[in-house]
Amino acid sequence: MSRQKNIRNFCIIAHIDHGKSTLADRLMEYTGQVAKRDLEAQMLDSMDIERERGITIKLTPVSMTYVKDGTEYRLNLIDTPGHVDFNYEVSRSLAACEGALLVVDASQGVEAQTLANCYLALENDLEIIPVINKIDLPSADVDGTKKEIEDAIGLDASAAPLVSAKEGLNIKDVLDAVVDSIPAPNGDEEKPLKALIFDCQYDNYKGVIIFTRIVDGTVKIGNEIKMFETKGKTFTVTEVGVFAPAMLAVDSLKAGDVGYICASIKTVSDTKVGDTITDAQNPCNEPLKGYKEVKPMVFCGIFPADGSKYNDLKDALEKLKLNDAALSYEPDTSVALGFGFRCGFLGLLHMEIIQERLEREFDLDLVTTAPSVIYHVYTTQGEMLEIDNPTKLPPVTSIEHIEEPIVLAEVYSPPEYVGDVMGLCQDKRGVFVDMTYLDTRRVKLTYEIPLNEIIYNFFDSLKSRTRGYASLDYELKGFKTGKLVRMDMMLNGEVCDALSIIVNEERAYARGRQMAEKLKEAIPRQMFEIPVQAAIGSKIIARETIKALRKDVLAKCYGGDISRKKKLLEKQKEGKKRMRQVGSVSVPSEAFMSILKIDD
Amino acid sequence: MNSNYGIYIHIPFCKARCGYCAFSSCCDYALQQTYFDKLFAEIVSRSNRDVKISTIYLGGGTPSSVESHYIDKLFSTLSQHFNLANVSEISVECNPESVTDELLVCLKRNNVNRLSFGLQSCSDETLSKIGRIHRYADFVNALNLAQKYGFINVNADLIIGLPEPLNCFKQSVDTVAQLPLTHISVYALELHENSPVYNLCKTHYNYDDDTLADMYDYAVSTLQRNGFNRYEISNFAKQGCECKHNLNYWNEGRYFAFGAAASGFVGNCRYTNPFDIKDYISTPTGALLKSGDELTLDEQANEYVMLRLRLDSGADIDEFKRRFNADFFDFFPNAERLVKQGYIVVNGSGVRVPSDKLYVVNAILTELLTF
Repeated sequence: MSRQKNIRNFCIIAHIDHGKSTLADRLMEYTGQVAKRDLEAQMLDSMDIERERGITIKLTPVSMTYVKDGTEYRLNLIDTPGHVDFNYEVSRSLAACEGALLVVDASQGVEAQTLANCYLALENDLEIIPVINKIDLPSADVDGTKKEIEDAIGLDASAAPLVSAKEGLNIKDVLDAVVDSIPAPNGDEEKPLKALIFDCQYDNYKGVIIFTRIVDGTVKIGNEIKMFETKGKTFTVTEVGVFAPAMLAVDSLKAGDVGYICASIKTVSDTKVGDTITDAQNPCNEPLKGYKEVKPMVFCGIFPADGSKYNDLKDALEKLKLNDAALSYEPDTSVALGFGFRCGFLGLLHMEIIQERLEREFDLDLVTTAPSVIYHVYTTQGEMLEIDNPTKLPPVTSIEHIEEPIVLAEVYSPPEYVGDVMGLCQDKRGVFVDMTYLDTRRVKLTYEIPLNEIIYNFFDSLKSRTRGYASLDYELKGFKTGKLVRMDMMLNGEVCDALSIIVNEERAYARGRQMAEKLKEAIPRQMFEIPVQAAIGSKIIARETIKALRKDVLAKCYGGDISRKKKLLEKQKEGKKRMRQVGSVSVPSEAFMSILKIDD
Repeated sequence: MNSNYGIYIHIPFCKARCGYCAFSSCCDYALQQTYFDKLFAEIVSRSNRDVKISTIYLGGGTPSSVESHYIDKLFSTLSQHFNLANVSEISVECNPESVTDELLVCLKRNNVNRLSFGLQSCSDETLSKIGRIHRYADFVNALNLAQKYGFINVNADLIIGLPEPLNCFKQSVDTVAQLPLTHISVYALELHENSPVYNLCKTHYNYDDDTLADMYDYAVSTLQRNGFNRYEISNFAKQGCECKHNLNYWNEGRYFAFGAAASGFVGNCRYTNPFDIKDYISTPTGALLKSGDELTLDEQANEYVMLRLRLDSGADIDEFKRRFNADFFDFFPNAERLVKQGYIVVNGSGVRVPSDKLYVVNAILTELLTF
């Protein structure tokens, strides 16, 4: 028990841009964990994408040593992502901690997402320490921010550390507050092993690396362990360690510790984030409360551009899934695109991140289909089907009604763009809920908007209408009946399954026209005329025509250079081979992607 | 198979480089002597008096722009090393401004009997825009002079898609159709990025494929109405005046080629000399002789179809069977479908691309050929 007295496990909750990662960097720097020169601007954001976009997606743990009043403390920080899409990740961090730092930007105050995460932390019985950041900014309003924290969350902010993570101001106050206010863990080292898997990574040499919080007991090399959900299999521990911040092997992990375990686990599916690890010989009676399964909100088909790379894509998804429990996927086939996967994501950003990681980290060329949301389809038989793939929608005659997900969207915008934002929200079938002037420079607009409108170009349109100034937050509110139909795209009279979408009937006409136009641009002319049609059932609602090719003969075959002519033909033939066949029509991969980017 | 041989000679020198040109050309006439020395050495190295030469073609560049004595020496070298007894056609490409009495006399004494003029357009404004140094009047003068010296077999080249208004092109076609010519070639402009003409075309005359196809159709109908029959996609001739040298290419006849960037077909080997004039000069003659690719029978069969389908006369199933010991429809699995779709037509043993589809022959060939 005395050992645990000197341990503090905590995380940081903050809205995007409120300085969470910078504060984490400062804490590490202050405790000597990282030399200043090694600080590659925000250490914890270890993925390139995270650094480029200035956001945190994956939680990364780090262990720090801090001496206060002559006593040495081990502070384990588990970073949390700030974006709404990654809410789920937040709950994982919270479950491994006893406390949280609530970082609030003194110039911006408490934001919706901060509140949501804060409530999550309170639900998990975490001790919350408000930290007021960016006090160096001229626009900082420390007293106003304190009052907001007290009013909105009900926390006492009178003793909140006032810091500037950027300037390195008052960082010690934060560390002192962690030691003084966050409770030490109170597990029992003598009890059977009980540890939470809060994340995993795959290493080619070590196999699966489990990120864990030891609740009770001890684990060391040679121990036989097993997981509650994957019953039967046992593994021998080959290495345990802590994050310093790089992985550092230690002799053992004991109750209260945060660290990692390797046990030559080669199969990714043997470890499930949220599961409980225990001793194979001397198991604990019951597992820890796991995580609530997250439900993906946005779906799309992902296919390898080169059909022979199907297995590479499968391996890549499996590895990503290992430390991204929110990603779901199942095999899918398309007449046009061949074998691929139907993937589910928490939101649009999550989808983009996964696509980008697949392309960058696994060097894959992908063809993705239009994103879809999950629909509740009530059949005339009285069943409710959850449909996320337009091609799986039952025939119209057997549908009683369809419900679509509605989100509560909060748009923050400078006042001069309010008109544009409202126009956009209305275009997107939004229902006005509220408008609040937060200060002279910022307005918060709240709308109820169908999620399938949000995933279709909403964010890009918002950015372009507000010259990049507006930001968007949304959370699922519920399901509502909508006039929804499946719209198919037909090429030369044949439906191309990869291009079907579920869309609001009234908006189908405009969408159909836009998609037909895009396809006309993206599909090269062929020897015959190709009608490009959008159809709802048998009703054609839009049509474009790709005219027949009339000219392909290039210039003079000079001085009898037949080889050059032959090479040009070979190249043309190669290009054709890379295209997908939809009936008699050759469709380049770009055509499938072109419909994803349509300007309103 | 055609047992006669052609000879192609590349003469890369030009007084000015045209704004669209991607061929091997050179404006440094100081290199003439070195170049011709190399050219003669190459001719000597391929010396062959066994095969009969039927056609000779001097292309460029601007063959008409080099000093006459090089031309004389060229023909004397050729006659020393090749059997020219059966030659029936000797063509020389000329730029209108370079045609002089001296040149024509020189060509005449070397038995040249066909001239090919790089006219390109009848509009002086267009000619100046694309960097040609002649004007339409120069062409008319050159043509008159050529007639005075008894050159009857004369070709003019036109280009589709130049940076000029549509009616300018039509006027050029109308004009040349009325001139005392025996042959007209109409090529589509091949745009190379960053060439001066490319920028002009992209900014001011960015014709789409439909308009270009319309222009082509206009040329085909106008020329045909005036007695110029299309015997190959880009070539039109009065009865009996088809270019024998070029026909030899499409009929996969064999030909020697000499000079920078020149491509030859000797035995079953296709070879192409170094593109750049300096590279050509510095490559040892022995190395030039060794370059090239030997064609397999499969490749020859594909080439046969690829080349013959460019011609109005098309390919022949019986000949195919005889030469490649294979049934045309077995060899090309897609042939049957293409026939059904009307992209190729079979008439007796003849196979051809219908005339209205000749301008998309590449798309048809990509589906048909098996390489």
